[in-house]
Amino acid sequence: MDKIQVNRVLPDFISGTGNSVSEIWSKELAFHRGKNYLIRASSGKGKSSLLSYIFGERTDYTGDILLDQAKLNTLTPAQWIKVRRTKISCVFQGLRLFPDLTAIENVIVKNQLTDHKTPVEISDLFVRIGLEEKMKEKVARLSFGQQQRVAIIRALCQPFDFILMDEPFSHLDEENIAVVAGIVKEELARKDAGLLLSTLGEEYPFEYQQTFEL
Amino acid sequence: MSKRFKYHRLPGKLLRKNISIPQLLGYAFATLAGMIILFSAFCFREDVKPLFLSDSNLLKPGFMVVNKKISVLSAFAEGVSIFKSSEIDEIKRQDFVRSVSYFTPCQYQVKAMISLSGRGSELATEMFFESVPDKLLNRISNKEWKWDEKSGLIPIIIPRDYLNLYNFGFSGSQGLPQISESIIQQIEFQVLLYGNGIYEEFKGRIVGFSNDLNTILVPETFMVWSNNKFAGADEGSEKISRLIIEVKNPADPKIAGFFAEKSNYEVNDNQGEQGKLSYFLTILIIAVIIVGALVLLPAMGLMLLSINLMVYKDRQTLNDLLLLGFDRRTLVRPYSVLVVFLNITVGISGIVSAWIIRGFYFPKLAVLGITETSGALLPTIVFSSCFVLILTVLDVFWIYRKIHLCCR
Repeated sequence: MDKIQVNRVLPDFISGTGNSVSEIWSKELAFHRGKNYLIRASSGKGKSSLLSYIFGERTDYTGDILLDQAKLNTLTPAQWIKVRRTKISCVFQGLRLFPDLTAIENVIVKNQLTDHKTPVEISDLFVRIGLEEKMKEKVARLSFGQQQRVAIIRALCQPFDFILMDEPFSHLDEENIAVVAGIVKEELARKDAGLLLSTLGEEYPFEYQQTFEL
Repeated sequence: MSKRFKYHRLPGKLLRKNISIPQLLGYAFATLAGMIILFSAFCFREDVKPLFLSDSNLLKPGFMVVNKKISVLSAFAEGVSIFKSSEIDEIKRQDFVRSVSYFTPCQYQVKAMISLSGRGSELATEMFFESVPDKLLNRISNKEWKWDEKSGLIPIIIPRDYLNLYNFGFSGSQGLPQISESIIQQIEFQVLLYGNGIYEEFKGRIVGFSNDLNTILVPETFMVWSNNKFAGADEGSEKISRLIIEVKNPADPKIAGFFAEKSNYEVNDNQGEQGKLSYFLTILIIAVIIVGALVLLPAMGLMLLSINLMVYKDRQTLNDLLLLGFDRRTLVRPYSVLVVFLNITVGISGIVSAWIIRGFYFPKLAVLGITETSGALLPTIVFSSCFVLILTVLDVFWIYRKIHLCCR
């Protein structure tokens, strides 16, 4: 998959409010594979909504979103499974980890679908993000910052052409941000993938080809 | 490897945490109770099936033969034992009557002959034929009970008493051999028909015996054909002396009431004691099946509600797994495995319980002449398995539907 097109998309919650001055809403634009995009806005402007629309989690909008030439609303459940396993990965703002599973189980539950990384590679990633001691700890007992790092590792356990990251480093200090961003950059380079990263204003250590203000 | 297998169970581990054990136990016990009742009823029906399939009656169940009593007057006055059309109409008007049919007599002369080879002798007798509508007859195959003018073979059913009369009375006194039912059915004999100035020879063969129709019966098609050919012009009007009444409910007290008033009518109740017993047992089995269904339906409702509740409680987890890339079939599986396991366990317990219950009542069925011990086992297992299968398919379909609605 080479590009994601967003054509005149307007969320229902903005439609009719007259509050649609934005570089994305109601515009025609495309995100290309291999490039990094920063989407910046204050709370409530729809950063998470945009990523949810692209990932097929929500459909409360008008306009069209296309993966290459395929409109999202024409994808079958089987095609969505393929997209989520091999084309687009996502780090949700709410993380969507399973609190009853351990940190390593949360990662493996994804990796067993894709068989993308070996157990050794996963262990190495835990070591690099400084959570090797917490691997067998239930996620419910981890801090939000630790949970964010687990969610990012999980998102990397699949092939992808794009990765959507919704305020992924909001609870990490600079040192951890540098480590995790480094791992993400390696994966992006290895896969020649695109990055869509949303933030409240922080830029984080990526080189963006384009920045959008929502 | 074992670790990998364990991780494959992760979705199940996530989705089973909201299972309510008391709800499932409630379902299991209620379903078990319903299944025991249902399977026992089925098993009982299989056990008493020989009664329903009793070959003593030729007429289908629910039919009775009515004629007028033969009195002294009958010997002197022609037509006393014949039903007038007003009398037939009166019977037709009764609530308990579904339909009225007639015996059609032959309107020509019949003579039957058989040569006893080796003895140089010949048995011959004047006789008669009657027919009833073929649709009233039980257990006679269409192949056998067919008149074909080309073959000239007349299929005949005689009262079983005729054979008994021969075997236990006539043959002994005359030094003739006794003949079994199967042997007599192999023997072809000559039948001479004459009337209307025509004389013709046919072959006859006994194809069956009856306990309930006291006549010599031939196929309806043969009777129509032969009456057309051999009956004289003055013998065209039918004289109906016996009626076959189909009743709606043989146990209806109005039947007995009506014929008690008609003191000159005689009723030969085709049902007999065995027929009444079969009828009673059918009603009993249906009643038990209804009770079983009344227990099972709420139990099935409870299971469907439990599924609704489980899926509702798990909806967040289900959505998260779907967003990770799991397919719906994988998400349905943990619930399905649970339901399949539960239903199979309950089903097997139900079959075993029904068989244990059978052990208590079966010896008592010997009074009815039922002694076969294991004939009901296989049909009961097949029926029960089909029931459990249908129940499980329904549950799994419900799970799939609920998950589909929950995870659009």
